[in-house]
Amino acid sequence: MPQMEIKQPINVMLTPQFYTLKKEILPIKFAYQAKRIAASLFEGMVPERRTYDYFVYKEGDQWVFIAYSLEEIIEFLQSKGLYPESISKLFFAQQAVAVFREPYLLSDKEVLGVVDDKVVVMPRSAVGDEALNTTMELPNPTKGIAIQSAYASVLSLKEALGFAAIFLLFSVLFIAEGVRYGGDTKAGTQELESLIEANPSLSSQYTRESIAAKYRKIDEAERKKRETIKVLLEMISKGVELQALYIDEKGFRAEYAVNEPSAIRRIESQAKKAKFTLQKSTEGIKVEGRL
Amino acid sequence: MNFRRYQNEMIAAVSLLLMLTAFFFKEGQISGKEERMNVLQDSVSEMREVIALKEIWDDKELDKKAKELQTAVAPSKVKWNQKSKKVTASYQGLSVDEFNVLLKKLLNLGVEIELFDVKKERTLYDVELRCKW
Repeated sequence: MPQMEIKQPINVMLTPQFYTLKKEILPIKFAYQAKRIAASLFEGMVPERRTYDYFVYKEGDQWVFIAYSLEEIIEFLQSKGLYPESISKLFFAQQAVAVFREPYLLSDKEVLGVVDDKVVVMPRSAVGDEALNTTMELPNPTKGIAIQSAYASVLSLKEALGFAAIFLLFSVLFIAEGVRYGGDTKAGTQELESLIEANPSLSSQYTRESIAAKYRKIDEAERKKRETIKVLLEMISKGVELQALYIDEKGFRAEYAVNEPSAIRRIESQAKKAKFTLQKSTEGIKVEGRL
Repeated sequence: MNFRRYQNEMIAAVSLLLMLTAFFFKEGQISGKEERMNVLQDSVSEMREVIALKEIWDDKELDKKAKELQTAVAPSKVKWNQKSKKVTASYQGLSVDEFNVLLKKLLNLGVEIELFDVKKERTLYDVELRCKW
């Protein structure tokens, strides 16, 4: 058998070399029941080195049992360039016994013929000068072995292309979105550029950090001084007079003359809240702290 | 391995791989954008902060504005001594209102207060002020 190039899945009819046949008249009604006992019928008839499957069908009042090694069949077909995915169904020559009653020429030396209602391979010399078929329209039995479903792809080409189309569509969307995100920092860049344009001396990051560090320090210290002065001035109220206020880089001090006892409690509360130190004396209250 | 046997799965798998790659590309771009935006935002915030700080503490008009500390009270009550960007001022006999005006102006000016010394004499205030900018 020469190497073959297959574009469409095909059906293959197997000659008797690839199976073992047995016919039995059995009191069985259904094929699934016959299939259950098939293995026991072939005990000792088929080599044990391979795994066998069984094909069963009814021919008249007889059950036809066929034992075959799918592994062996696939190996042979692959060696001829026929891969499982390119085979639709496997049939057995026995299924077309009527066709082979007129011998079919297999090769120069062999023919396919029928002996005792069984399709067999015979030497050509055995049929003498009988007319031989070299071509024939093989029947397409309804029952066969669907090899493609067992060995071929999980996905059909149509399904695979469908999935591929969906995945590619999403790929395009993701890429487009990604590209859009990649170039979408214009607003931020423009704002920074306009700020740098208005303040060219701050264009350098180093300069900015240096200036920021310098003024942050001043800002922090001066805000603290001003906040402290405000708190100290807030302590002045009815019955409280500011006698002295001193503030420098390190700390502060304020002295109040207090005429009302209730004001003392209020100043104490304010000083406690602001975490200032408070000293009471006969002359009044002294509040101080560090900056 | 018979690749032809898995041709359909391979078509689906390769396109799936392409989709996943595109997805991770998109995710990478999004996080990259966020990172770039954060850096930009930080730079803009820092820039604005520096500009704001400079406007307060490095105001070019401070020379003129500081004079308000001198003019806030009657000339007879103040001894003003300014050297470059440093002022030493001595206020004598300020009324409560004058003291409040002076204090308000001082607190709102972007000058560094080195010394602010207030003493009450009877009903009037004497103030020593040293500041720079």
